[in-house]
Amino acid sequence: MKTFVVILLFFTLALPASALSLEAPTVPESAQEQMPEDTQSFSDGIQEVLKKALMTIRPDLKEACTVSLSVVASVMLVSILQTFPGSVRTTLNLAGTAVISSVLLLNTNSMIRLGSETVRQLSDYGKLLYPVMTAAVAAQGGVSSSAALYTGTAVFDAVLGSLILKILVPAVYLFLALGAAHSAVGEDMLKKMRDLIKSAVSWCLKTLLIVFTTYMSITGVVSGTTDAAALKATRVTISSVVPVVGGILSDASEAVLISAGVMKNAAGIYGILAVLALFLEPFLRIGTHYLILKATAAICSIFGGQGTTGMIEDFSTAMGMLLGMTGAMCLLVLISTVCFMKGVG
Amino acid sequence: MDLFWKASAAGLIATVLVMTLGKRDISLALMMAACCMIAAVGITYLEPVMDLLRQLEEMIQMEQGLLSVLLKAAGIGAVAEISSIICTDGGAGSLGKTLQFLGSAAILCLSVPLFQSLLSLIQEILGQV
Repeated sequence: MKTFVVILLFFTLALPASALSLEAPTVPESAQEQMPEDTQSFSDGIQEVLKKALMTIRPDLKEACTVSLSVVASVMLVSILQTFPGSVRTTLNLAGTAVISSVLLLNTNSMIRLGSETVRQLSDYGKLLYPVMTAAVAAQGGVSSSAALYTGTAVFDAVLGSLILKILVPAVYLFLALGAAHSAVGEDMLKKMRDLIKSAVSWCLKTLLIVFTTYMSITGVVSGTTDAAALKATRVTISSVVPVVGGILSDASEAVLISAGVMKNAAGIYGILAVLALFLEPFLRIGTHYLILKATAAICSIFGGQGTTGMIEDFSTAMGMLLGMTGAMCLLVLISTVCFMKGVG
Repeated sequence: MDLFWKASAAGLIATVLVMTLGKRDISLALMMAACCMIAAVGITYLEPVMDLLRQLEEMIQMEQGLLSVLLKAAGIGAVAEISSIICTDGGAGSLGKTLQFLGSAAILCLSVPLFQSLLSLIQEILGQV
């Protein structure tokens, strides 16, 4: 009898059940308005987040069009002297570059600050979400996979966040400075340095994301398989070794694991909606400015000089780089959450 | 478009007269007169463009002075270039180049407030970064 009680107690301890409440962290205040009312349904939640984000871009559309018109007017004035070959044309190009830079820099700076703030918020929210998802996966029986996933996501989140905020964002400013200087002076070396920065930013983001997704795929498969095998072995052992109530205990443990899985998925869905609420509005706002600048460059290329048109294209490329940075951070947090939600097996 | 055809015809006639007339001083005066007349016709065609720019400036509520500085600079540049070309054709190449320098200097002087506001904007951004 004593032996039976001891064995029963041992297998009770082997059950990976947790009494913790698993709730995803609340979305920051800046994105509260974007969150859907119903966070239980994934598809409805995404539709609502997207609808709310689309409604907020109207002021940005107006601002971007205003900036675009001022740039077009400036380029029209500068293009008056395009037919003359002298040095006066160069001096007028310089004045035109100064005007267009002033108009575009103010607008671009506010977008860069928006992008940086979005990356910071996504990174901070991820740091709050990962421990919750780790606990949820561990509660579901994925002890080794939760630890491995958490290590990877925390490291990559910190690396990508620091890389973007401390290196890539200043690189965007440098890119703009080189673009403006090339437009004013026409020096080829400046163009090459500008292109180098653009390639470096793009390469950094792509490489980090590829390494991250590779790590998460391999970790998920290896540790998930280990955990699945361990869980199966425990269930078989419980049902075969414990007399009479072994089968009931095994079924009960499976029910507990399924409940933990439901709680994990609920936390994961809320986390994904919160990340999209943080990300979509800034992404659409920066995207609006990017598209309008591209259109402006296309219009100005009809009557403007190569230098001024090139500079407008550089500003739109800078917006594109910002989109890449915010998109990369969002993708990292989303992929991490989905990997945690996939769980064991 | 009538004015355009008339101005082009006047320019061609002036060129033929300059080539056929023996006296250099009269040829130079004729060339200057033709250039001034064609430039005046050109400015007439730019008037609707100026009206459009004024409309744009009101619509976009752009910072006062930015477009007008560019407009003055473009005007100064056009006058300097045309004067320089006339001087060069008249045989005074050095005078032409000096007029170009004068035009560039005037445009730079006009653009100083632009560069100052750009510099203060850059300082503000560097402070944030």
